[in-house]
Amino acid sequence: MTGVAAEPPADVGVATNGVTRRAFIRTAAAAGGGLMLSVSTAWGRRGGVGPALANASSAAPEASFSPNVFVHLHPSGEVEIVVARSEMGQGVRTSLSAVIADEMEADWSRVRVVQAPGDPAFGDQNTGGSQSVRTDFQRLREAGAVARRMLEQAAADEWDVPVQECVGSAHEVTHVPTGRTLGYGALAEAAGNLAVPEDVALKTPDEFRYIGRPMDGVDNLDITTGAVVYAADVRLPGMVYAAVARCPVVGGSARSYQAEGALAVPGVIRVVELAAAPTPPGFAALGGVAVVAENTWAAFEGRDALRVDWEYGPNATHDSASYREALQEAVRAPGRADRSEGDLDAAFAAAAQTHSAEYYVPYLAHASMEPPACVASVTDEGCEIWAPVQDPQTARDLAAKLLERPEESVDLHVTLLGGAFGRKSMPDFVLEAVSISQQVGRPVNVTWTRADDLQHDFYHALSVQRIEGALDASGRATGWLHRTAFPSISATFEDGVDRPTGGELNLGCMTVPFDIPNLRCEACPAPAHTRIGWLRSVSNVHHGFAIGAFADELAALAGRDPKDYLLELIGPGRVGIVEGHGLGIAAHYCFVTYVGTVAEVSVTNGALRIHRIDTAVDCGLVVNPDRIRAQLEGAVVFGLSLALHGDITMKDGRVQQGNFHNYPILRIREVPDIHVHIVESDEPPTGVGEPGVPPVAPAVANAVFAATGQRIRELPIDVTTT
Amino acid sequence: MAKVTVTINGERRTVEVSPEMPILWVLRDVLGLTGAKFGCGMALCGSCTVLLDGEAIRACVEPISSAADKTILTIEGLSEDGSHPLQVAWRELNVPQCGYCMPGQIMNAAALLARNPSPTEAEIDEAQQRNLCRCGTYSRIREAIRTAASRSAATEGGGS
Repeated sequence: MTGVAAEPPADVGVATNGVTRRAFIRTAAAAGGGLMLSVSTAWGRRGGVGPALANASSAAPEASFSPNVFVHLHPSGEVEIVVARSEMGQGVRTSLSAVIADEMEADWSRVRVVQAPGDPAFGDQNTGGSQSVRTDFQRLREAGAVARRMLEQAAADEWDVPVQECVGSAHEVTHVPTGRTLGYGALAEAAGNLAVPEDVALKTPDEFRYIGRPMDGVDNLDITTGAVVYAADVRLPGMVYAAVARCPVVGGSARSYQAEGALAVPGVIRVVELAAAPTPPGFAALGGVAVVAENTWAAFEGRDALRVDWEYGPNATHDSASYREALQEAVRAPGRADRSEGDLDAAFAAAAQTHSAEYYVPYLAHASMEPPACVASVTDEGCEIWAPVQDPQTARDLAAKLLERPEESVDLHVTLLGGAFGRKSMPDFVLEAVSISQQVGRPVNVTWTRADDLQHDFYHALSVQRIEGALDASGRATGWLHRTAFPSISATFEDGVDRPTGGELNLGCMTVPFDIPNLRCEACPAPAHTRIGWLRSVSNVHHGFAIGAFADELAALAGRDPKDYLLELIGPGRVGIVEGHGLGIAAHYCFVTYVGTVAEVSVTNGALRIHRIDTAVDCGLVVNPDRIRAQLEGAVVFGLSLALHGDITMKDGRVQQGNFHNYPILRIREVPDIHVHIVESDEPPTGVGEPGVPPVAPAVANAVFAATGQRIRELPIDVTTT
Repeated sequence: MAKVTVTINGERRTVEVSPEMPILWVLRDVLGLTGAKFGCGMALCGSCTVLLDGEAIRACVEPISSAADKTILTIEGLSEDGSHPLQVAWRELNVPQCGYCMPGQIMNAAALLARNPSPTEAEIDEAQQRNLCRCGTYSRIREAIRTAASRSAATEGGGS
């Protein structure tokens, strides 16, 4: 049998590296102490690895959210804090737990962060839209504050003193008049018997202990020692591996297949069929033919040896080059007006100058370093899933539906996501694994290759935009017409959606932060021919590019400095630069956060070099300044990748790219000097995962113009054409 | 199928596999060492980087036969407890975001520092050019390598 080690490690198939598995199940009633109810899975070397034991169904948490589900304090003093949003590098496991720990006055060194499984008991777990901190800030503060209050009450009861004299701080309660103390652990059992208060006072910002301070990532040790268990790393007794052959064209299906070649590959066990996705596909698995094997490599080799006869379906002639032309035609005619103010015709009639330009951004792929991967184990008793999902409850619900079983029968463990950028909101890859496991009766580990990832994505929409501007005699913008054509994300889920939705225009187009009295935003036709999804900052990517670039074009037309003109457009220190370099500026507002970005570039012998990027962000109250910096640094790199390289093309209905040689992303040598500036604010915290992305491409485009006089109107940027 | 003997993280192991099976899958699926990651399968992303006789290789394309009677070092074996200067610097500077590329980044950097203890900026970029990071942590990777290098140099310089 291929792949059997002559001397297997004692625990192979059970856990990795000899790590023991631990699971945490506590109930307020069953445990011999402990404050709160929580159900949690453990991951990483220090936290245990592999499957958690099933929920103790008799002591399952209530279906509706309660703040108590986040905090679990042991008599030992160790406290588990449950994080219910998915970690994909944006830092929620650190930030959200720090918020609770701060209000609780827990000693950070006594805190262990535990990831919540997919379960409505934890409230909303959908992670996307740069809104985890923004949405959860208040209720997580309350969850921590409630814990502290109850510990203070328990101490007061123990000492028989007024609770007002008891203060919880740094993991112990002090009776202020006498200086007596009791550790949180010692108080845990008593506190667990108290009623949960309705209202608790929260800290004032000057009392914050962790919020506002740079906090080290809670998973750093596991990450740097290779101990993190990503989905593909999960090992279970009897587990097999699978690779899926999927139709290269969306909307197609397998007519027939020949498995002999695959079955002849050493290590291949079985070949099974997966039902084709409906039209529109929604979150359903694409379907196809799965090769099941003893190890990943045999599964890949087996799939290469498979012969499948595909029916390619209605999108078989989709061609991104001709589609671009169709969209160009579309934006030259009026569309659905989603925002209309003033009198645009009058503004253009009276204009001293008018200007128009069209902008193109191609299909883009997410290309997170971890390709989609999932382990599913379907038995008669239930279904257990390990998956890097941004929306655990939807994944669980759809898995249950697929199996025609109740949701409670599905345990979904959220693994650390090796990057996502929106791809892993779609649980199609989870449903594949569930279906295969159900068919073969064993736990299955499904890995996607890089080609699978690039060719079966939910792409960022290809777009063409046309902007027309009217200027008065002083160069001031008096009229603005923005037409945008791109296939809608909604088309992935609903029939008959043939142009962008109002919601998508609200991402950067209608929300243009310019003070122009006569303005219209129109959505133009663009039917979908592939799966479209949300990619880090979504429609802000192409809207931000076009608006940022066009604003700069107006500045040049008006004979004005771009920065001054931009500030004027928005309404209410000069850096010295090297000779031959150009500076470009762009600003964008999305997900309630404001970002301004400046790029310094040069073009020498036809080669574009980015020297420096400065990006300033106003995201309200700063929770973890270091992670905000990291997210903005990362957004610059992500934005440069799409500005300089990202280009998914389709021909004969299929994606032409297959790996990083033809879908390159930024490498270390291309990374400029990056400076992040965080604006101080007392406003409630807003998002940082996405807002740094949209202004990067237009800032670079505008810098190219400043350096060379060449206008950039399409991505990826090509400075060799004139 | 063939028996191949390799010393992995200091331990002599013998596996019975197809000699063409890439080192990556032997490590991950046969031996349960899942620290090295799969990112591309074409030696383009570096997530699978391990050291073969001290040299950084892309395990996704190297067949296990090429490692016969040689030594392999993976992220799991880089230190007992995460105390390699690179690992320490990586944590102090909060380099990781999603973490997926990090075992490969760290192993690649370890090979660099082993052969070139005081690399220049350009040499760091040249060495790490083979390792992609989609989260975009490159600025911090550079700083962490610089920091680890300068500490190791200081230790060696002042060591007794």
